[in-house]
Amino acid sequence: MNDNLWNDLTATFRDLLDNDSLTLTEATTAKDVEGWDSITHVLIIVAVEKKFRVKFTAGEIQQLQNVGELAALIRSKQASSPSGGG
Amino acid sequence: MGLDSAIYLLFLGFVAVVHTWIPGRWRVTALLGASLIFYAASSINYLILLLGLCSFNYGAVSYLSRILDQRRRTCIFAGAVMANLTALIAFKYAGAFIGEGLARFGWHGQGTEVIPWVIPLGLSYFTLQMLACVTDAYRRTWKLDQGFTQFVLFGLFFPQISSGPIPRAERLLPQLASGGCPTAEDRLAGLRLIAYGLFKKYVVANRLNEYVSIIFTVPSGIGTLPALLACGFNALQLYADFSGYVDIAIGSARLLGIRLNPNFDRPLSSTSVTELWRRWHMTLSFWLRDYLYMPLLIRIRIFGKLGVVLTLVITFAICGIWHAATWTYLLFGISQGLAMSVEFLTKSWRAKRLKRLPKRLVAWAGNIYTLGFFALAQVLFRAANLSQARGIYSRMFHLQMSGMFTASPEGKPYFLALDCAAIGVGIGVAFFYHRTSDRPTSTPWFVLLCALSILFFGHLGSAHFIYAAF
Repeated sequence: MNDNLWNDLTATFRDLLDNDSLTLTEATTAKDVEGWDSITHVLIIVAVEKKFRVKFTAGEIQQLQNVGELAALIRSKQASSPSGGG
Repeated sequence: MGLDSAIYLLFLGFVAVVHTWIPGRWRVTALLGASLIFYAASSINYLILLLGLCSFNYGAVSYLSRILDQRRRTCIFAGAVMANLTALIAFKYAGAFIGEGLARFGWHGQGTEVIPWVIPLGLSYFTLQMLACVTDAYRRTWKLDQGFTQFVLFGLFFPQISSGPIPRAERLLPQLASGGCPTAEDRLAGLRLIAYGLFKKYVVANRLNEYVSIIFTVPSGIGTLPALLACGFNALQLYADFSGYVDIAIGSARLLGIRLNPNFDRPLSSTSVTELWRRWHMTLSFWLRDYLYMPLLIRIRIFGKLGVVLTLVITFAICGIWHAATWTYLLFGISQGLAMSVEFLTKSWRAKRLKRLPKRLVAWAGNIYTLGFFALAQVLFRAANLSQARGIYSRMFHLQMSGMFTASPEGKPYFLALDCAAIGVGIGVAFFYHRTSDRPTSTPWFVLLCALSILFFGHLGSAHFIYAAF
């Protein structure tokens, strides 16, 4: 687990969901977090793309099942980008 | 064959008895036979159309579940989507326009009466069901493991073919493939739901319809209060009518050991329009979310909040047009999208401002706003055209204290007491239903209560289910 990535991801979620005490695990899904609806989901994706300087495809976003898969996708995108991501 | 008709109840009873007695391996065939008979009773020609569409979609879904080449998969997916939409547009929208055009040019068919264009039973729901199937197979979130017979049964399953609930293949197909094996609990729950649905239809919806239809068809002379009452009654009628239909549909399937998706989750308790659409016509809302709203929003996410607003308005405009291609449905859909956009844009602002107020007070205020807005929007849903909707709105907001107890300008007496009694009995029966929902042994008493209520308060008119028109 990349601690920096996880901390940044948690900070992004806390900011978007307006919940300073939110704790994420790899298995966390939208059903586990109050206020994480379909609109917030897309806004989280936009914020994550901006924060980590990555770009997801529509198919990749629709396949995501939990926060762990999102973190894995960010890592794979950063690894495959020439600059190594942000 | 309407789900509230005596002939349907006899048909269902016969199917349930046969389904129970025959060996398990024949149950799929029996359910398919019953579904074909049910549809053929509506139209044999359109049955052929739906069988053709089922075959086409079965081929597309089988191919998508088997083939790995992404380019070919995309071509098949695009072709299947186009074919389903073309059938819907040709038979629902173009057919209606052509029928109207012929009538305008004086083609009245045989005799003097205009023959209205008949939309294939359940085509709108069937199309959404098939589009979901094809999309899930394309996205690889679901794989077809069943044969052609099971797939056709999934497409035409008689309790849900008329007006939903819109099923998802991953949940319904495996159940149908097993043929259904009802337990005693399933049968009791099914009977309860059917009785409750008939009660909602005959006692609440049909009774309220009398008052509402008079107000909506009378062009002038109605005071403010009757117009406001008709607006509220109309929303209640639609809820009782549609949820009544859904109860009968879900109850019929449950009687055969099949569980359909719920379509309502106490929508009248919603505290925002956004929440209401998560509780009202849930299978349509979730379909729109998964197959239209989310894909669109993901593609235009770069626009941020503006993208959310655009997506909400476009999605609900399409939702409105899905009901029928009229200005009233389009405006109804846009009004819902705009209300949700305002709620989204003011979410943080409201949360900060309302934090200090008691939660219960905020919930009540939210509930009043939601129901008020929804009832006002339902005028558009009910009105035959924009001019009629404008007439009702103008009477609601043009203070004129007359016509409280007489609903027509001719002074034909109409006693509101009967409608109020229907609502009162409705609340009582709903209370009994929810209090005893975990006690299957109370089913005979509940069925008796519904039967007596229908006998004494019911309006056994010939009004069809409102959603059967879509």
